[in-house]
Amino acid sequence: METRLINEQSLMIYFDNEITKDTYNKVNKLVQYIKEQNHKEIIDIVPSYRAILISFDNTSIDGTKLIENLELNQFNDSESNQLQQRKVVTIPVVYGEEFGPDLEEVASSNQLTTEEVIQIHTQQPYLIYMLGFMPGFPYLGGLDERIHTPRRSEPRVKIEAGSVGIANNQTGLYPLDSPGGWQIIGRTPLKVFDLDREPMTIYEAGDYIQFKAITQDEFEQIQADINAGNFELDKWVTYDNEY
Amino acid sequence: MSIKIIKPGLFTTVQDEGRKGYMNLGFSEAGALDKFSYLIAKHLIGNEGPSLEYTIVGPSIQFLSDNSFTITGGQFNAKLNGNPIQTQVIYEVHQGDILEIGNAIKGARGYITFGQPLDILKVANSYATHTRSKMGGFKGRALKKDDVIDTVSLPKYKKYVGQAAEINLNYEDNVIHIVKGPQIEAFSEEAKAKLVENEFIISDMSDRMGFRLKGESIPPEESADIISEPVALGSIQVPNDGNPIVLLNDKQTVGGYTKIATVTQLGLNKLVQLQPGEAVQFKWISIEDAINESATFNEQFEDELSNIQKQPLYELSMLRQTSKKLANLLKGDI
Repeated sequence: METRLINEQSLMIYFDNEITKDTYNKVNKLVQYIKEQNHKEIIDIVPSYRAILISFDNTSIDGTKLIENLELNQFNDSESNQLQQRKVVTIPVVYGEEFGPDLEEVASSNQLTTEEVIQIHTQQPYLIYMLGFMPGFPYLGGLDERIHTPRRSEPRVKIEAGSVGIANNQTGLYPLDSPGGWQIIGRTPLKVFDLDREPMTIYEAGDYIQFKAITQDEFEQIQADINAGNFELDKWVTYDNEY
Repeated sequence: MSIKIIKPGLFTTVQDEGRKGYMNLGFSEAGALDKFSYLIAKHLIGNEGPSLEYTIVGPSIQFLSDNSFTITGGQFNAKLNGNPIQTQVIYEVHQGDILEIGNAIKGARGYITFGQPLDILKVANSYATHTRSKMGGFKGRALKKDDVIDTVSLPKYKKYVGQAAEINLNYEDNVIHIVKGPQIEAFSEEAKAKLVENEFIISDMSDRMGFRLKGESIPPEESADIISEPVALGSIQVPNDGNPIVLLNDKQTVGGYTKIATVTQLGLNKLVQLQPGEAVQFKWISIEDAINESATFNEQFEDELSNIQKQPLYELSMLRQTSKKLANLLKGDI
């Protein structure tokens, strides 16, 4: 672990220079450790693959003093192999057709059937390493190599909110309408991001996303429920234990 | 109760201190680029409303109802009903009055802040516009001709009319202090030296996301790609082409390029008052010096802000003709 002041109001804490669950677990644990200390001078704590940015109000505390107060030498990161509870958010997705116009492309460029792509994409939960790029956009790790696919040569002007895509070794989910070059393989009816809701996103960094294939009828039913004001986040969230 | 945009200016947006505490969800901070000028206005006007931030060419606004306002920041050719007006003074306006900000004379950005503030919905606890994600401010975008923005009724809006401040933010030179960036080790001694040996020119491609700089190429020794990580305000990112970019308030929250340095808080405030085509001279300082410099400034600035209310109210009719402020203007002070 290494701590650096980046300017008068930001500091970074770095772990090993790698993208692994192990390193990320340390990031996640340290974020919890710092949050529990409840420093009122801290404005933002932003986790990522291997680094944490902390921005603070430097009119109320000096950066070197804040680093002291964090008591990082008391932090024990060696317990990352212990049993941990994880939060898994299920994201129902209609794959293919107008919901996922690039599903065929992803299948053919990997010599797979579309059914195989769906089976592989939904086979295990993905860890959310961080949110960024746009509000609520999850950077997901662990996409199966068999469905890695390059970005589209011509980016789309508009990708619908809820679209699920693949870009090289990453998979992700557009929380809002956006232009973009990812291969779009499906779409969820869930409003994963809503400015008028608290919390605005239905997941946060450190949670897992499990995609689940649904039919178009189910999509419409879920959408109708949501529009009628019957969105219950709890229905889509499970907790399980992981070593 | 509203104002109408007669001319939008080059790039005018609703801003405040920025969206704080939501960066972990992927929200850009946005907010006023020249934070100190925004804070001066806020202290003068005495309400919680947002400001309009204008850029190089300011807007023309018609007041569709009685109001008061102050302008702060860079020096523009500003006029109220055709009469020149000054920064850091609160003016009263009546229905039909026209405020023309005009072109920048010195500096690049300024703020109009209203006694009966703009009626804007907060998004993630902030009024700030982030145009890239079309969020916050007025319809998530820069203002256009004929936009009509409602204002909130505040009965005491006339209370501080004539109140003035004379806070000089010292943008006299173009020396910008920088401290070591998170990937400083990725750069050669030569690149680190080049960054401060010659001036860099602010490119036309600069905006609220970042200032692109033209000058000597200072690429990292190996690849510019790093594992994506959160980026701090003022980071100087250098992609493989070797052209540095200073990341500003509308930046993405995470990025995957090497960062050689970070512009200090005071340096940033100076930098954002420079226009494309102008030169910057960077100077390395230690993080300890940066912290001390900021602390000294902040202490003095707080004092000056708290002094505002104690000053006698100016007679606006006299202020137009003479006054120390006008003399300062002629000397080129802000």
